[in-house]
Amino acid sequence: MGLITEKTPLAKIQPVRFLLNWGRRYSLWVFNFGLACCSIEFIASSTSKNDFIRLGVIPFAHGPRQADLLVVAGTLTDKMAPVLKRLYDQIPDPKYVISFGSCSNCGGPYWDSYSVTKGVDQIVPVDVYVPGCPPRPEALLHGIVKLQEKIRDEDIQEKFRSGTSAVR
Amino acid sequence: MGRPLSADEVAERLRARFGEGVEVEDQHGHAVATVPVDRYREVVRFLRDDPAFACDFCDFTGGVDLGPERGFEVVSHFYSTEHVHNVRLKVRLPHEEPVIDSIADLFPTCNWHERETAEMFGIRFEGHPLPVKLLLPEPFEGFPLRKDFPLMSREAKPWPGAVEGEEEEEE
Amino acid sequence: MIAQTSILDGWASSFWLALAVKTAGVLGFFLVVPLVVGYLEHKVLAHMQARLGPMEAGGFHGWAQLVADGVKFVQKEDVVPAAADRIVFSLAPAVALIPYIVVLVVLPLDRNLYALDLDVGIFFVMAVAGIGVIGTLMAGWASANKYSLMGALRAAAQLIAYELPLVLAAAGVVMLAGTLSLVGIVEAQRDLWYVVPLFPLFLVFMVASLAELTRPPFDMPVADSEIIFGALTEYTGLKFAFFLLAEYGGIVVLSGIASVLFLGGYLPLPGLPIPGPLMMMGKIFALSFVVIWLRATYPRLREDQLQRFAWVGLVPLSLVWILGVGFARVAMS
Repeated sequence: MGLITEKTPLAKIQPVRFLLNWGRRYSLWVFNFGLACCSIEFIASSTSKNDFIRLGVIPFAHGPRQADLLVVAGTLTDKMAPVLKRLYDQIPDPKYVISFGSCSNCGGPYWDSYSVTKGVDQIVPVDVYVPGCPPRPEALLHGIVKLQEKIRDEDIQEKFRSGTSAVR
Repeated sequence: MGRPLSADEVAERLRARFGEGVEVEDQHGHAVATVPVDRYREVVRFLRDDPAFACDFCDFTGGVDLGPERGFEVVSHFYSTEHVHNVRLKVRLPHEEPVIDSIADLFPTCNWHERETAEMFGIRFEGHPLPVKLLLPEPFEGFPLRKDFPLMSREAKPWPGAVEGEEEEEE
Repeated sequence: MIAQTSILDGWASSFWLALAVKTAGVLGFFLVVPLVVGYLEHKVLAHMQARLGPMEAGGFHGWAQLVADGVKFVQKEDVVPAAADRIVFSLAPAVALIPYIVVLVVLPLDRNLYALDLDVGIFFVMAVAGIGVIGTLMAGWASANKYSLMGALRAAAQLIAYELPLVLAAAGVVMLAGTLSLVGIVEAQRDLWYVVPLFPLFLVFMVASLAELTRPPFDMPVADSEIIFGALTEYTGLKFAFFLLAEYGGIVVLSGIASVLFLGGYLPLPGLPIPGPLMMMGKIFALSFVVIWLRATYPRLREDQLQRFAWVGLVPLSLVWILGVGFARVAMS
């Protein structure tokens, strides 16, 4: 299917594109890259009160290979950065990244530290930034809805061609 | 079940064993002993093996940078689960070549504490089995917790607002 | 020799047309009912955990969640690890999936609504269901990942250990019914469903089929806090979707077999004249609900507890009960 989506103009026909985007946006299996306090807010967002399975985001994919969405939640240190890149590369395309919390957006309260990577977008391409320290679970739900709107209007061939994807 | 030692008793026993080089004072209920660097390992072994002390738990080994005049200080905190008392050891090191014996074989937990102190302050622990960086990535240059280490982010953008200890300027 | 004839044989004039209709029927059943059970799992687990479950996909209470999953998995990049054995890696999902489709061929939905009624029915079912084990082993070996291999070996040990109680429970039913054919077994339950005289064997069968499917509380080989995903760690996209389909398909198929063996298959409850296929589907969904309920309720068993439970618990229990059935049979005749 990857070949059909990439090489032929089939994916540009509006109903087909709608169907493919619909499938991708309502079935986001999330790989939680939880590093620090924001990870607890992420987990809180998956519990009964703010259940993000409602939106189709199935939590806790067993490993990166079964995931579509990487949520980087928490402070990324320089020592952990290669690990993040490695796991991001293991996720099969098409994949999306949400940067959750101030530390992963821009270094957050640790902007002056000697060991923090100031912003995970230096390591992986980010689709949605959710600000907060830590963001409330409702903020994550808002971020996921924003991501779903982005996917709805997406052209998958453009995504593969833009270079932010591993598939050539 | 055990009998906790007071700071005076700690002072008495340590001085009896190791001579006058050991100074003990009482800080907030803990006995804090300053020992010379060449007797550090012996004192730690004594604290562990002597039945009156029986310090079987090493809480932490850390470092302090007191500046170029006063040098570094290595602080190790020991606790006895049997007697329920604490003994803290401080060792003064020179600022230029800070070298101290490793106690990683006496207390395995100090393996990681000493690795961290080494990478953060540049203190060399003689006899440590695996002196590689623990928390910092490999190509890191410099020793971050030294007072003269520049924080590049703060050089680029000075700290907004009042610095600790000064008054905030009224707008 | 075929014991009974299905209506599908009856009204289709040519053999090939009947074959096409039966194939389409079996495939259609296999593609629809496991997805319904999968959606049921999301919703049942959710409501048992005081939350809502999928609500957005498809508008009304997220009914199309698994359809969206399918559409998404089809678009995923197909990753085969560089050190993996390509052919074995790619074949493993098929080997795990196809046995369950084949078992569906002999499952009767009504007195004369089935694809094939073999007179070695239950023997065929047990034999074919055992092939699924090889799929997991192939997946674990071919992944070139030591954790996958460990997961596959644990899964193989578990599946082999629980094959025995499964077969023994079925053997007890066969002894009481006097026939291996599935339709024959259902017909023999016209007076009394076998769940009453053979209740321990019913429990043994259900527990053993849970372990066959590596469903909680026997999901130690595939739990992510244990071993990432065990044998399936390196699977992405459509191959992974096939493994998932095999799991839900297995739940449907083994619930179906349990209904046929113990709950009277398509036979109605005395007094309530509900048509056969509806009764069968009702029983399949009831048993699937219990399987999902067990997932929500119990923590998982450790490997040694699991093996002990099989060898020291289930096997002796089923042997003793079969002995009792044997005596009863001889005494009755």
